[in-house]
Amino acid sequence: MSEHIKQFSKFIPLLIVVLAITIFFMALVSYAGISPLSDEAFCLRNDISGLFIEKEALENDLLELRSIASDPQKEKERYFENAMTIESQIKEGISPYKAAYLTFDDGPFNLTYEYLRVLKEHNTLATFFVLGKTDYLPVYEAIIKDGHTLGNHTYSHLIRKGLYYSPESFIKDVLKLDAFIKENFNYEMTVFRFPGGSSSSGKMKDKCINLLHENNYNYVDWNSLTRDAEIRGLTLEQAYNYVMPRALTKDFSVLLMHDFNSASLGALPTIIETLEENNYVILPLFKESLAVH
Amino acid sequence: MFFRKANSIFKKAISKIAENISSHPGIYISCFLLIIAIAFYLPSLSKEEKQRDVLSSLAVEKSNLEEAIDSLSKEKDKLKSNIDVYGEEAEFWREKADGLENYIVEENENE
Repeated sequence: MSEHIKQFSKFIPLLIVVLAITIFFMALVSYAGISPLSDEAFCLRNDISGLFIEKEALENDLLELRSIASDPQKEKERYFENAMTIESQIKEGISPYKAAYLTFDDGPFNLTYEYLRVLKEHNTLATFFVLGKTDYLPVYEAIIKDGHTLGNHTYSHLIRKGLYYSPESFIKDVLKLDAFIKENFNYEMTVFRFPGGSSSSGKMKDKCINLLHENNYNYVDWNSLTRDAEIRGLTLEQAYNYVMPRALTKDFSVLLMHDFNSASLGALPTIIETLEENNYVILPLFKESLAVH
Repeated sequence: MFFRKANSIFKKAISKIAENISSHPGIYISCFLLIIAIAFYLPSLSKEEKQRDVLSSLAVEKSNLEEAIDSLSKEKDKLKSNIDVYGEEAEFWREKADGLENYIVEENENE
């Protein structure tokens, strides 16, 4: 055994040297950064830089998409904010412009499509004060789709048959149309026109207005009209001559027409062009408009 | 009994080894080399620890980036579908709103 130990002892310095070299090598590997940990870090850094590039590309895509995929509701709100600014400036007298509102009562009718066509051709938005007509659902839809304002003109328009019998009967008819439009088109109306004008409600006018306000409505009358509901056989020249002279005297000109009438339809392009030539900005009505009460 | 015998053999072997290697000159050189190697290796241990920290922070950064990319991708898909559904309507109102801006009088324009 003593001989074996003697033999083994000879190798001990050699073993220590091998051990020292191994430790030395491990230290070198660690300093040189070639350990498995460094490899992993290298891979992770690579992954991260790839992800950064991917993220940057996505952010650029999003910027581009956001610019073209804006929310229609936000753009619509911006439109009406601009309309309000224009109205305020006109009222304050700091604007060279005036405001005009084309309004069409008692629809929808089949002829409404022709009105929509003319308005589209002239890139103009208007207001349609509609009644409740279950046979004309596609026409309501076309009005809304074209961006015009749908105004409440009561469901029945029965001026002499009970509409103005009491404030309750009045608001019942208003809310009937409100529900009809909401149910069918998910559209919230906020502008109202009294059938026959607000004076038709007689002594109930203040109560009716209060009820309208309580139900989130403002109302509007008119200050010029083509008289297309009064005169039989009205020509388009007559329609134009009735409405324009008075319309051009107002800073806030609310023009009344009926979209069943072909004379008003024929006069409409000239009415729009004349208003524009006379510095009128043609706007649809909206609840906060200075033209409504 | 067996344990005692084994213990005495081990002690004998150790003393024999000590006796043999103390007279071997290579032992001093090799021990010196070992000490240097250990001295050289020890600081690398702390470096490894630091590397592990770096690795875990890199892993966190990677997972954060992946989450951010995921949410950006979802937003991108949503915007794309919005363009398909509402693009025309938004474009319509944007043009209208831009058109009205031409009629707004700037404050300094008036002064």
